[in-house]
Amino acid sequence: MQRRKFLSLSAGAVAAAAILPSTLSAENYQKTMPKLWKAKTTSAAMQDLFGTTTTTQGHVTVKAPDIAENGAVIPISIATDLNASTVAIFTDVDPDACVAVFNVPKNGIPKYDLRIKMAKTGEIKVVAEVDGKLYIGSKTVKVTIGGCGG
Amino acid sequence: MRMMVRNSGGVTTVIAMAQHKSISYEVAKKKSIKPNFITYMVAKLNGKEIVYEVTMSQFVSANPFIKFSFKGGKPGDTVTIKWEDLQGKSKVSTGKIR
Repeated sequence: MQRRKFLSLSAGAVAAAAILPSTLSAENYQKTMPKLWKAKTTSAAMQDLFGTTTTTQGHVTVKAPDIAENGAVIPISIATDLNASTVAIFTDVDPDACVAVFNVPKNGIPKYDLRIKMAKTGEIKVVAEVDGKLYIGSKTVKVTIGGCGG
Repeated sequence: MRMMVRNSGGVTTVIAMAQHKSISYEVAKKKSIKPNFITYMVAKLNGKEIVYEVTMSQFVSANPFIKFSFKGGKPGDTVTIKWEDLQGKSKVSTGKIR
């Protein structure tokens, strides 16, 4: 992600970064990247977030039920064995593609559980960014009752 | 926010559930109410080091449930989780590592 690299470079140049107030949002992408949350497809969202759509299969695992009766609550568990800096969840079946974006802090372990909504049967795609390279893992979930229209 | 924080073998695991209705844009339009959902969550160890950070969309389930782990922390330390929602409300919860 070019923007992030730029930020870290400028943070290094300005040594004062260390004394920035801790209340400062490190990266609330809803505020910093409003366009990302309106992207309709995974590839468009990936382009917005990472600046590329080139991915490599593997190193990312997605655990989710094969069949979800209630699309409003789908428990998923995602993990990567790589030293990822960003992990994002996408799905093409929801009205917008981007579901959640994790920043992995220095001592954070990129293994997260979350419950998400899906409108209909489709694929959950999880992308991990490692040094500018993207790794992808996916899992198809059959949804009986959609969970986005409430 | 209900929290459970455990340390085992140098790794701290946090399980937490926020109470939030999470009204998506679609539901808000149908019912003519304001959309609202948690957009951002950040967890800190002893109020300083960031150990978890996520930006959420409207497609995270109501009453968001999260689980994460990080290296470090010891019994007695605190983990603070703060969430912010679309309408600007925020809440801070603290859990002690057991």
